[in-house]
Amino acid sequence: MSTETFNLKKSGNFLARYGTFTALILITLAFGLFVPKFASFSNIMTLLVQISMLSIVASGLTAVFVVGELDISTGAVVSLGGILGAYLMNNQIPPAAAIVATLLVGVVFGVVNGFIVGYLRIPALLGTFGTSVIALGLNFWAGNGSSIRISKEVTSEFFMSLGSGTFVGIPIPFVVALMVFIFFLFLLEHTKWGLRMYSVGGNQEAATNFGINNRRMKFTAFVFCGLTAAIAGLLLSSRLGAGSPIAGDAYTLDAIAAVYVGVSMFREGEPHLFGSVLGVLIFGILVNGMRLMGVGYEVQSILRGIFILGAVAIAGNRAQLRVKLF
Amino acid sequence: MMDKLALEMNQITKFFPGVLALNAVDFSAYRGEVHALVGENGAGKSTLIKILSGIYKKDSGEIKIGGEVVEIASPKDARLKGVSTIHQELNLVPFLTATENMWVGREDVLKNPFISRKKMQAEAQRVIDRLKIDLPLNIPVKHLSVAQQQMVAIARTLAEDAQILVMDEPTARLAAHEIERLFEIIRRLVSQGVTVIYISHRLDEIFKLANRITVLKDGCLQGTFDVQDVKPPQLVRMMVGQGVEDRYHKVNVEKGGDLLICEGIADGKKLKDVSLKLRAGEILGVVGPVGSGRTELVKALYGTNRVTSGSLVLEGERFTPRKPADAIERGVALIPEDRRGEGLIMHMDVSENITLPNIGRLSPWGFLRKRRERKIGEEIAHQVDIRMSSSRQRVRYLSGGNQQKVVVAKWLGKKSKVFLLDEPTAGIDVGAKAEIYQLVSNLVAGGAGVIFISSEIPEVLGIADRILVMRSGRVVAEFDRSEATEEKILTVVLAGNVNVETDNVETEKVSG
Repeated sequence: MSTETFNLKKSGNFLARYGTFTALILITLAFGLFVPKFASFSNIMTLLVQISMLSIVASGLTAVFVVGELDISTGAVVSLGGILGAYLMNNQIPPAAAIVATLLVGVVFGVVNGFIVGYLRIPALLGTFGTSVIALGLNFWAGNGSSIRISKEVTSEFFMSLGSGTFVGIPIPFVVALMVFIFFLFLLEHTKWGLRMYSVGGNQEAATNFGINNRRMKFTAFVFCGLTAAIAGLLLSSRLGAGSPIAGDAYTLDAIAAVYVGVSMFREGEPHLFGSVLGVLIFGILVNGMRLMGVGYEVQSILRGIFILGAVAIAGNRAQLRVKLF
Repeated sequence: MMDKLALEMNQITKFFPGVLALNAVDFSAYRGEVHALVGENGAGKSTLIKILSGIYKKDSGEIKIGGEVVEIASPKDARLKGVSTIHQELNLVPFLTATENMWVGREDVLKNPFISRKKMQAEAQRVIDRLKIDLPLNIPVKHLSVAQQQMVAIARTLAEDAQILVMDEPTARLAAHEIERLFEIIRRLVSQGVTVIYISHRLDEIFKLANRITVLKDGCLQGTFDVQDVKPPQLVRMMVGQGVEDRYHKVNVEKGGDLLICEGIADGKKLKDVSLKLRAGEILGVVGPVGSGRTELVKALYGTNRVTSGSLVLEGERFTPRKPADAIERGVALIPEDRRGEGLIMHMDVSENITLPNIGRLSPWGFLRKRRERKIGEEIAHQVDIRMSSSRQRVRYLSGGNQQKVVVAKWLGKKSKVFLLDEPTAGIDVGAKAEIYQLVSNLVAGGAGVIFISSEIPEVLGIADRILVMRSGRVVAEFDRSEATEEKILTVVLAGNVNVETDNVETEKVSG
């Protein structure tokens, strides 16, 4: 019986499985051929920086999706990380201490989210919405309602280099994104904790019967997700030279969209880190290329929306998306 | 009444990539007959039924309903042509009432965008009256028992005016007395001219209920017989290709000391007061109607539900499982009733499922050693003879029997001592059942103790050393293997009707 259903679905497999990947290659080729500056060295460096922050957030969010949950507070925590970093720098806190403190705040948000969803069993959409509103309040409070510009006199070279420096020629944000990616790849695919996370997301009751503590797994995923959001926030404020209460907002939905694009590619409707990063790349390249072509933000957004719908529709068609919003 | 053909399926052929699922199969059914369809998993029963109910399209052949050639394009199309199917998953909306469930998806019949509750209610009542059953129509179906939910599903098909009713393993989750009631309803429907196509693995039921039997094997028709012309052993031989006389392979194992002792345990809910002893090398059968507390018993022993009073002793030491991990730690293994929902991660592969409970031990410093893990998984999979294309095959694509073997297999690497099996053979075919019995025998031969819950009394008689009968959360009778008979056990089980019914929503007065 089961083999039959499997075969039935096979017809649509190619488009669904490789459609996203093909789209990425086509988009890249098209921009490369028709947009003069796209393939230049300097643009590629810019592109790497542009995708770094989203990639970091999407990596953490993938872990949350793997345990079958959702986090919509990431954007607000990115903003919080940025504005807190800026605030602490302006108050002459040593950069290392400021960074650690900011990351800790990200972890605290992850802990709260993990507790609310994992232990209190509040649906993730509602629970993380609540914490995101709290984060937004903190953001406006810290900046007195507006952005905090990091004053050139007090800040350190070190802090500013996070966003715009390079390491052996590679932009530092990209190096950080790569490290985060490798960490999560290892965690999710090559450790027992990763396998347990996948099993919790796959079938919570069975996982419990296997002796797996599903609350702890969910909790852990949220903590990591909070941490990555704070990392992205720090990089963002360093790059912008300012922390803004809403600078990170777009990351919430962009990261969710990227992870969903990834869901279409691996493990039949399961989230997978490679897929998430592929989603990030597609969005990054789309935005970058369209900017070079002089396409306005409003048109970019419309095209991106169409792309998300297309990718998710194909994925949804192929295997029921396991990841639910409630 | 049994003179006109309600359904003819001629030379039905269906290919799936690499598999000939149905090879020119003929199948027909008269008006007002119960026609049983039997065969092992993978024999093509489901494919045939899915073609009839519009889920699959046939590659060749023709279907006639009431003498007219029809094309069935979709499940909805099938329903419009009078074919309704009740799947094992009943497809009810849990938080809607019975009445609402009967109308979901067919509100258009009412020809009015505003739903008239009164009219819905009246229609529902008419159907219920036709079935001569008592069913609470106005509470959400999730509060009903499985048997009652099934009644709702049947009522729904009648509301649709089904002429041909397909039932896929309708008794898999029912207790003995509920099965009797279901049979009464089926007989009533048939006497009203409805054709029932009945799929089941339980031969005793088929011989009680069916007029004719069609046997499929490997996608080919083995034959259609009047029920009085065949005997069960013949049928089994046709299904599996050989006789399976001694299905249970009962091996006598030297009994060891007491492994597990329960003293008056209760969970504050359905489990009231259970005392039992399980010795090493012993198979303890537990029977009783659904709702008797038998599932709650294993859930309490496994730490899924909290034990609120009484005491447990495991291998001479106090045992207080607060969560499954505690039970696993002490060597207790659960093979749950709902294997898909509670026992397997369906999208993971065979090897991953088998090694998951041991993953801590297999991963030094937390890092997976995938090759080693796969090797161990493969070894265990071969040990219990799981039929799979490779250990990387996802368990979703295995047959029910093989899935069950995966659930059992995952505890073998763990050296568990007490095995709790809750309906391990529900809904799996004859051949796979025999293999499960063999597996259970091997477990006790290795010194483990097994608690074996089942709704099939012959099965428990065949395999258990002692048999406990549960009712209303208590053990009400105990039989030794030597003295137990089906009649004795059934008498005790059926005597429990009164108590069982009061657990459900309706409180009807039943005598005896």
